[in-house]
Amino acid sequence: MRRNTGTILVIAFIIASNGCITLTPSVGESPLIITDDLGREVTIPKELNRIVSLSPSNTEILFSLGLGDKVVGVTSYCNYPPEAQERLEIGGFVTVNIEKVVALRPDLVLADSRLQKAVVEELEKLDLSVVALRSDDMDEILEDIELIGKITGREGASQELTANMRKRIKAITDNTKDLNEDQLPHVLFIHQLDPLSVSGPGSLAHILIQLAGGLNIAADVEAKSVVYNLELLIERDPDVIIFNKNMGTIEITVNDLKGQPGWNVISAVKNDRVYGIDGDVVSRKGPRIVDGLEEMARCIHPELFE
Amino acid sequence: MNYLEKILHWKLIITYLIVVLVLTIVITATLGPAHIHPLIVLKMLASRLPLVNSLVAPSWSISEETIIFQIRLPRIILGVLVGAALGVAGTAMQGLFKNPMADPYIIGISAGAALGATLAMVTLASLSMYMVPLMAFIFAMGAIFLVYNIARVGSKLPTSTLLLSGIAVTLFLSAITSFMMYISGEKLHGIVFWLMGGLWASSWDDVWMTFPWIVIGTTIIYIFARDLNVMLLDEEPAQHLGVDVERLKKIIMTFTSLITASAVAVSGIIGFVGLIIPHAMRILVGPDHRILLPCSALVGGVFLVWADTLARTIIAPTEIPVGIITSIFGAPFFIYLLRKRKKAIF
Repeated sequence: MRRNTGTILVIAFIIASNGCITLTPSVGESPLIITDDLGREVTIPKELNRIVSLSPSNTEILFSLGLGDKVVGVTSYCNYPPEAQERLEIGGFVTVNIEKVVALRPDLVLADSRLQKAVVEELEKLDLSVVALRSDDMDEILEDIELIGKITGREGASQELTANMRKRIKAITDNTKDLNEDQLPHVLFIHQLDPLSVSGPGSLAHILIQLAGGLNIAADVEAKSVVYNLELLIERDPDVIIFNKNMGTIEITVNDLKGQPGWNVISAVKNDRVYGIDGDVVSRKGPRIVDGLEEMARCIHPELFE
Repeated sequence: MNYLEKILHWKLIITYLIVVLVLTIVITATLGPAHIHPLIVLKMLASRLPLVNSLVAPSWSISEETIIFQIRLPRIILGVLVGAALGVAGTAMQGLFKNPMADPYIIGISAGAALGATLAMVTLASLSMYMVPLMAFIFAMGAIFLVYNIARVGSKLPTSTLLLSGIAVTLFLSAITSFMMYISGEKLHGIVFWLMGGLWASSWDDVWMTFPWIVIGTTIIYIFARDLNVMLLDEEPAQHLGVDVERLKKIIMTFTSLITASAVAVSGIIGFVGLIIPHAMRILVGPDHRILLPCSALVGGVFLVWADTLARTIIAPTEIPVGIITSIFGAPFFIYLLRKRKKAIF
């Protein structure tokens, strides 16, 4: 079992590391110096023509700010927008190929501060400008988008984007914030079926469920993602089950879920309230998170949002 | 102790262990993260028994019934089957190879099953409940076949060659599995959990899929218990005493592979049980396979069910892979047995 230890450690690390984001761009004359989420001071070059993104969220933000043609390298997970897949692949998420990044001669590298600390250190030694970002809730996502706008000289576009996102978030929460406890359906978000893995507190899916006016029945688990006990799924009897319909690349259908042994007694299954959604939309910390919120809201409160 | 006394003593031990097993099933059925009163559970169980069922009036909800009969009970029964299979397979492998380090996985089964399951998870485009266990089973048997043919010299099967080819094939297949995991992306999650082993999604289908193989395999291995005893002398004396050593090796290997592969296919790779239960039983009841095999089966089942009960309750609503529990609680107990015994056990 030795070969698994590394993977397990990575997973343990994802679960364990729960730092906090602080973004304090130091205002002043150029050059722009910002402090990223690893507490590093980074000088941002004036001219940004070649950007490498080391996470799908960063890629989506860059493209939505109209910087798609400046993005020269992405990860193998960067599948949105579709043209991102035409950029050079610099490796996976934790398995970034440093040589490929360097060979692209980027002016700026946008990394993830949680999983890519070692990569950031390597790239820093090679004198590249690396900004490591991390966001854990809606406000931080909006801040990150604005920060990337600021770094890349697209402040206008980024603020327009976040203003629109705020408006759409408000349109949902205005409808859900005054619901009292018994008007909140009990919801479970399933991101993997075998073993049954669900989103707990701290995960984006959990935050979206709350904003969309639902109660996460897995709110008492200790981590963002846990393997959930099947008995409790049936005992806690969710009114609504939302699942990631492409777990990996396996397509899961509503009927796959309904057919699980014993699930026929769950309210969500009996009342046809099982919904499959694109897991990327509710887990990536980019502009599409609002699409995810709206979709969740339609699943949880069809009477309010259809 | 004369022969008759010994037989009587054995019968007592086995009766005692069967009682323990039944009690284990009943007690663990009342334990779980869902809040169902143990008395209600006992009533539910009674309602399914012939003769007494008319005495019990249903006083429980449909979801409680589902939790007990569709979630908890199949999981417990599968735990018994898997634990028993691993216990028997470990005992047979250790006896056959006269090697205390032997376990059910020693000749490549776990590596084969892991590769099969990983391939199924990485390449499948749609969800099929049976593909992962099926592929695990096929690849486990394939791995054994490979190991066997590498080790075979003419019609003979030298033990050391067999162990070494098992190790070589294991390393080779593990490397492929690691590579598959490395490129698996988002599917890594499912693969890692499968490799750690667990009984989290057990259904009656899993029970019916494994039950016949494990019962048939275990029975046939038990039939050869005497021959395994003779093998303890060494291969040559065994041959002189009328044991067809090469045939015995093939039979034992075939059926331990069958039961181990069936167990692994539905539960993933649960470590420790197949290595330590046989040793613990050897310390407690002695090396005679006629008593050692049934004891290892019964205690393997009991041990795994209790370990799994902890796995599903200890940090509920979250599950722990049962392999972690078997090692954390089993290893210290085994060390205690070793120290207490203080003499060579093999």
